[in-house]
Amino acid sequence: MKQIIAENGIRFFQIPAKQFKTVSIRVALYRPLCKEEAAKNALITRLLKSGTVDFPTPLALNRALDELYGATLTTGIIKRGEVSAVSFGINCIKDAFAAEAGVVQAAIRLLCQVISDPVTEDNGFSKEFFERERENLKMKIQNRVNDKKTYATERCYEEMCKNEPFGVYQYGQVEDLKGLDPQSLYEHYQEILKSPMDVFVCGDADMEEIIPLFAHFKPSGTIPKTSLITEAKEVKRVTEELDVNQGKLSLGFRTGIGADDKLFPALTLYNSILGSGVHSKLFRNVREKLSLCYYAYSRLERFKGTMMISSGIEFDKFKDAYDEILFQTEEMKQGNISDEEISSARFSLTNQLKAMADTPSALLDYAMIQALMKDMTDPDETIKALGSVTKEQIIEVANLVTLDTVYFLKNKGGEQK
Amino acid sequence: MKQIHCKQLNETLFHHTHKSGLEIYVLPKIGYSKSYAIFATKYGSADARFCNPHTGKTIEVPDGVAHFLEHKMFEQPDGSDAFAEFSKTGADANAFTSFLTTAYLFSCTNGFYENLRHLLSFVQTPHFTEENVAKEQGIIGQEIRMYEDDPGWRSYFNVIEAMYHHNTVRRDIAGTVESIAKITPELLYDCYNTFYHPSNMILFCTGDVDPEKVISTAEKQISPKFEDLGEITRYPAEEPEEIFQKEKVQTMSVAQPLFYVGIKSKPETDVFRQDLLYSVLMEAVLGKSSALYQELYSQGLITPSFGTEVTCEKEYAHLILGGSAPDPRKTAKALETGLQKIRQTGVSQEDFSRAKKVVLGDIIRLFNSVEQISNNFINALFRGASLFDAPELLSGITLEDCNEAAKQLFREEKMVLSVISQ
Repeated sequence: MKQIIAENGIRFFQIPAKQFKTVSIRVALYRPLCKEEAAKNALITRLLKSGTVDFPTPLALNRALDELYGATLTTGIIKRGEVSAVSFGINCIKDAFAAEAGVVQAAIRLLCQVISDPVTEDNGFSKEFFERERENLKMKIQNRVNDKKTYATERCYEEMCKNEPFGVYQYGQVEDLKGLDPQSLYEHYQEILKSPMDVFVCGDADMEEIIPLFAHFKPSGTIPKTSLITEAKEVKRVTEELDVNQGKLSLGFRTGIGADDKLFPALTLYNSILGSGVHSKLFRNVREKLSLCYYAYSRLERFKGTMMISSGIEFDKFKDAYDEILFQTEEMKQGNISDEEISSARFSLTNQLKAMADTPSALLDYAMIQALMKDMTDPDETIKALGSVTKEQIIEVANLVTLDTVYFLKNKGGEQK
Repeated sequence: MKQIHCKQLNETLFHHTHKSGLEIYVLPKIGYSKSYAIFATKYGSADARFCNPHTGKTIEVPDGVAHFLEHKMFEQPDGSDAFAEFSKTGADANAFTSFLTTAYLFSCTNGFYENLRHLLSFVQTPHFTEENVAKEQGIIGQEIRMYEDDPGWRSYFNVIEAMYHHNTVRRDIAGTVESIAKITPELLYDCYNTFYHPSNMILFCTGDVDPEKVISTAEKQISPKFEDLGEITRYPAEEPEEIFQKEKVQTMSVAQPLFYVGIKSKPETDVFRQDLLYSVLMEAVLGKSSALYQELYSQGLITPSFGTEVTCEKEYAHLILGGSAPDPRKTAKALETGLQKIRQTGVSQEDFSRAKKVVLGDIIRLFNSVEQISNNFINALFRGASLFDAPELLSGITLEDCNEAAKQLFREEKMVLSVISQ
């Protein structure tokens, strides 16, 4: 990956990847994750898809995209620690596969327009688009509860980080949408355009043609930081009741280790051994040995220094699953980790890092993470770092991890259907 | 070994038929780090009634057998599980069961041929016992419960149930806790011995792979014990043309309602081409750049979650459209009206040409991904076609074809509605 810093301060990250049939661009404008901005930022990303100065209706804009062989435009909020990346992306087939020339250029130009040249009305966003998208965003926020698996994980984080920015849902809350209007939202949007900005390019594209398209942006400021709470002082326990068929258990932990910490590679190995794959303790024990679940896994949030264990279980198996999960974390603390478990985890992580090279979105995700690190690295260096991790370091990490919050989503009245 | 090059996609496919009848395909991807293999059988949840060619017995299975079998395939005779071997080198293995296919797959960035040997070996080594069947009940039970809480999944299966009276596509892939309780090792062996014969299977490899090495590895690994199976007799259920029920509503804990409109169709002779034709039609009529989509969107009748799916198999064919909407019945009525208008007016040349570009773009784009290449190729091959035929078939589709298809498809009596709401 190559980094170019443009005159106006935009960082361009180039991932050559000539093997793909597409060119993918992602643009990130970094805002602090906070209640004051969440709903506004989310609404703006949706509004900007309604039309641009050259293509002033959703119909016109989508026709322009479809003429480019169905180029896909995405906008949204990507949460990384306590950074809210207001994101835009376009994915387009290479000119070599099109009947016309200049397809990729046209797509990138369109993306830039979407970001900086929306349809305006009375010094604000179009009232019609504003009302429509506010309503759609309201429904999206309400619909969080539909996907119980994700809901259970998010709710655990919400409880765990109640008093920290990380506890904010990046798309906002319904009550935050009420006080908004097209003019003041437009003013806030002008502020977003001045935020620190990164552009990620994946595929066979000419940077000399791309960089000038972004010359009119004026980013400033620094990327927000994420607060790290190293240890949980006591365990919070939260139970919620909804109309569900399966209990959803989420355990939130503080790892005490941030993304830039020297123990981070050891933490990724710890997480893999414990709960990331068919080789893991959670899969082998909670699922295969005890048949308590179909899924049981652990996932890190590297910037916030947290780990979340999630599992779907019968309501009356809460204690069995909870005890077994904690037992496995205790095994890690005691160093009851075989060489085979360590090597399987190392190989699994290595394979994943190498395999990234075959998927544009994986490469873009990786690049976005690196862009937020103090010291950027590449997959080969990361693989090397994993190779140097010792069993002692894994045990050291295990003893830094503390249980913070236990969240259980179960049926109303707790009865088995 | 045959070699076929597709100029428009700039890809090359290698093909070899093993003496057992196994079809082996290799599509090398230059510059890729992963190597990927998928070993699939033409057997899924829809194969509910069939004749075991070894015993001549007709068998009717409880729901969830094909999926249960897929889980148990990973059990090894020595008590270990097949994942362990893959984990030794960090290979990422998985499996899935759908209506018509069961597949076992892995991807890796080293040791591909050893892993390939292992894949072929464990799928040819069934080991079903009372004990290991009993153990899986709990795990699959929780998988079923997980799907029971998924409103999108429920709405999807409900729309299929509403369209079909007897066609076995309406059966639950994972089954129910009750139906899987009826599964025995004997039943699993009956299914295995019928369908897991190389002549009913495909091996597809892509990524950083060498066609000759793949074929020679497979040659050594396919067991010689497979005698000639002959034709597998499947007994599809009799299905009338009419829809089964107009509406199916289920209560679940959701904020906004979810809905699917199903449009029942019937398979034509060339289902692969029919799939492409319907894809072009639906893109033209309800793609994001269509007047109907934007009209419904601006009125709040559909939201960004709205999508359409085309299914054309030899066994059944239908369209499913939907997403979340505050008033599903109002949306369904508006969709019905809009689609019936298209029957009268037809699709415009402009919308048609643009739709073709979008479908072509989708086909080109899928060739970035080893998973999508393999899955789409297997789908095509099991339908008697090749994915390489897609670009040419697509350019041969005419505006008249589209408008004729619209006349056949967009009939109120062929439409059903599935709703999930609070």
